[in-house]
Amino acid sequence: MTAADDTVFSVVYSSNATAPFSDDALGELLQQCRSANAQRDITGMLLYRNGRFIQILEGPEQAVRETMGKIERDPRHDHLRVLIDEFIEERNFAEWTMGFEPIAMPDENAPEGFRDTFDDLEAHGDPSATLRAARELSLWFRVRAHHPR
Amino acid sequence: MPEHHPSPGTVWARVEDGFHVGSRDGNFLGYIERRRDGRFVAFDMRSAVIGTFADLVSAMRTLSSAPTPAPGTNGILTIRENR
Repeated sequence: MTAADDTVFSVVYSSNATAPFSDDALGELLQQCRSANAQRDITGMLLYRNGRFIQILEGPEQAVRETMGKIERDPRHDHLRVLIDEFIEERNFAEWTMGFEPIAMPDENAPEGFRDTFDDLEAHGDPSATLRAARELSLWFRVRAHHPR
Repeated sequence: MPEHHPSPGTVWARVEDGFHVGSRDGNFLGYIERRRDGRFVAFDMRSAVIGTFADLVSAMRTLSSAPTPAPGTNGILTIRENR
């Protein structure tokens, strides 16, 4: 295996679900993702919140780009927007072919002085905020996955 | 709630109700979770409990006063921008 084979490419995107997803439909989507990702050596996580998907994919660049191409053609997604694409030093979700944790819309305003991670994630023209928000979500996911409420 | 004087450069974000993350200079300080009993538990980046507090501000103050981790010591949670 060459050094290039070890390179990890990561994409974070958001999209709208073209129709509301039931738990069963989400389960089916996850099953498809996990099966395909396992074959392609792709890992990552998926969030579904208020009709929007946020997904992180990581793996070999070609496999990630091909997977993104499939997602862009998937009629279940609309208004797909790549928020981050970058090479990373190591996988952040090596344990998950596609991790999933339910997340609800907040019932409360953010405490005074706090930023809202989801607002920052899609902040136009502020890549640093987007990057920080993606890392915040990664942290949240890992905490929730390892320490369920 | 006690008054909080934010540390310069510290960014606080709410991911979901009751889950808060602090970062400074591109490194995460830790996170704070609100428990069902209304108390706030501060964790470092290894998910070790730093303390339990009656209010969010006290938890923020404690995490803010902890030494900033050296770059790279919190693994995936270091914010790096290479694009």
